[in-house]
Amino acid sequence: MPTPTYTLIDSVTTTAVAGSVTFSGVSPDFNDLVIVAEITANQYDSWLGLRFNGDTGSNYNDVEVYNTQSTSTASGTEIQLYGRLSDDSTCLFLINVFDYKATNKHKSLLARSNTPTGTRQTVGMYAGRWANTSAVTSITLFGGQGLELAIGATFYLYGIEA
Amino acid sequence: MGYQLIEHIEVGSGGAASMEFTGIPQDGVHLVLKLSLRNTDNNPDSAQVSLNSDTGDNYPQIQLLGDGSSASLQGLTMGFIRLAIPVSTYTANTFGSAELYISNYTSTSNKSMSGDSVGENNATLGRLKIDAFSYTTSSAITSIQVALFGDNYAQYSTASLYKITAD
Repeated sequence: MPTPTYTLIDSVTTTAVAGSVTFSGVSPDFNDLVIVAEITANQYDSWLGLRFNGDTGSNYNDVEVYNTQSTSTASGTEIQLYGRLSDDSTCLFLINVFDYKATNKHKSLLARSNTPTGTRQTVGMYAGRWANTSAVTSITLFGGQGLELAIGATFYLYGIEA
Repeated sequence: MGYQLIEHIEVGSGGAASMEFTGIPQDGVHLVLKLSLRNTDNNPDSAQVSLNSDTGDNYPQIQLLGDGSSASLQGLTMGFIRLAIPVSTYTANTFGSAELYISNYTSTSNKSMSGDSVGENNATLGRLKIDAFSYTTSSAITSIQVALFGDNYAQYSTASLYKITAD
């Protein structure tokens, strides 16, 4: 059997309305991470936030293209992925985090979002950077602007080996 | 374990009207379809992917498309998933690349999908798009059809289907 190179580290399915989901104690055994999240929100229209290692400081930068809009944020308190999250549709996020355990560089990610139905149809692509050279040991995903994640949201964290 | 190839298909001489994956194992969590395609004719410029041989209007989608001079956004519901490919008048020996990610393919809920594709061309008529798709059915996905309407895929076109498992 071939050596596995893409390994499930952890998975979460929300069984109650939740403000956030955290993957903690992320294994240092891989080179890159992939997060696959499928989310319906409990409320109407907001973004998915992402933070590393519980850092709530102004250490995040991102560039976003979603539908016909493009924005950028410098020194934000999270990376904002305009899915968009809504209570009448499901959004699929694919998030790639590169070189997450490196201690000689800031951490970067590329992401896609997909909301094909509902009143907030959105397709988007994002680049984000956490201005910190620490290895990533935890990842928190949360609804922006106080929005909650509905029951049944699924989150998968995969590690990719070299 | 992890990211496993289910099947790889390559079009031989003479071309092929479609490629199909059947009997998809149900022991994975997500599917990834990777395509390298080219049309033998000048139209259409989209691969037509269907799931479980379903060609009903069950694929709501929104696409952001760029053609080298402008970008456009379009939301609609169709009888298939559209992915950009090069046609016969595009740069020779050039195949378009596409990836379709299908999340939770064995679930009893509607299926959410993410698509990235390019109709590669060494001119301003090249097309690049990203799509959000849904398949509005509670059925697990057991087969995938990669078709063209009225034309053939060129020799050396390929389709590879992978499953991502939960271990």
